Amino acid sequence: MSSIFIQFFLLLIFSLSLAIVVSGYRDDDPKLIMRGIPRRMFLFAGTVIGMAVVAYALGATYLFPGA
Amino acid sequence: MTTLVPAESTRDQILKVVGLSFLLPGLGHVVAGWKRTGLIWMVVCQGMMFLGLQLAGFTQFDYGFSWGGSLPFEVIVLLPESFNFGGVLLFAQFFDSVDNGGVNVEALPYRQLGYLLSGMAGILGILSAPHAAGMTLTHSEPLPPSAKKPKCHPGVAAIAAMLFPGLGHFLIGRKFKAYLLGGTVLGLFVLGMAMGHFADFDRQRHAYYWIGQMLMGLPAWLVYLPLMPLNMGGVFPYQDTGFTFTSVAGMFNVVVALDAYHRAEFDWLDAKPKKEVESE
Repeated sequence: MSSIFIQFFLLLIFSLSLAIVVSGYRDDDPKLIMRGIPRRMFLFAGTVIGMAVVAYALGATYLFPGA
Repeated sequence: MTTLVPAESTRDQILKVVGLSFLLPGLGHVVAGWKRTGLIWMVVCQGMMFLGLQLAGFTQFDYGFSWGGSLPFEVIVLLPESFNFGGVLLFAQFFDSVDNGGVNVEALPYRQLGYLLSGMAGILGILSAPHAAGMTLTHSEPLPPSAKKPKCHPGVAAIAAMLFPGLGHFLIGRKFKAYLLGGTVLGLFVLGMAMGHFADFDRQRHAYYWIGQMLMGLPAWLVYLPLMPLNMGGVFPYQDTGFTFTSVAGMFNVVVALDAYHRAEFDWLDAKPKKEVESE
């Protein structure tokens, strides 16, 4: 059985990795790379969490069998 | 930000050699005039591809998609082998999977070695494209004797980056990026493997994830066979996330390799007298 907290933690790890790779691709200066990482990480993680919330809300209401 | 780009004639030449290298590894080199280098790429990639297909009884074709259609020959798309497009196309005309002849794939003792070799041949095949592109750049736009020569040409940087995450950046002198990007990609791969109890790297069980995993280069290729005896004895809570991590780590490695190529290309053009270089 998986835990929602561990899933959240794994999402943050994945978002951090993605942000590092994207920042490294976009910029060449170490300072610019480091500055871009948190913004890109939270943007990606926030988008995924937002979509998860929308999916959960739809599943619990409009798409719920019998609704 | 100013980006230096090669001259238009060089870009046209690069486009040509990259396209030809995709069709048949080494062909771009041969057409551009580097016959010996091109022949080495051809022999290595096609030899490794044939040996891999042979060892696995050509059962790799069972993982691909084929189109006969109205064409006079069969087109097979099979990843990562089809990165060596011409080789797969050629062998598919003459050989068929032994599975279709009733042979059980489990009866082929070296099939996993065959999968590994043919997969490596596909990835090495596509690496001939940046190598040919890098050679084209350095021959079309040579540096004057007074210029400080970059440590390696873009093709070598891209190949090194694909073979070992971060190595390409290390070779071109970007050590911060080498450790950061290489460490990130390797860390994501190892974490993903751990979540699947190191048994989630197997073409027979997870053929689609395997494509991405193979893009990790040597770190994945070297552990593929030693990890084979490990079996997934059950359903682990985060194994699907582990598959995703390992597969995406390989795709990230491609992005890192592309970056290594472009930074090395920038270094080469930056070393030229400025009036000879276009900028965007």
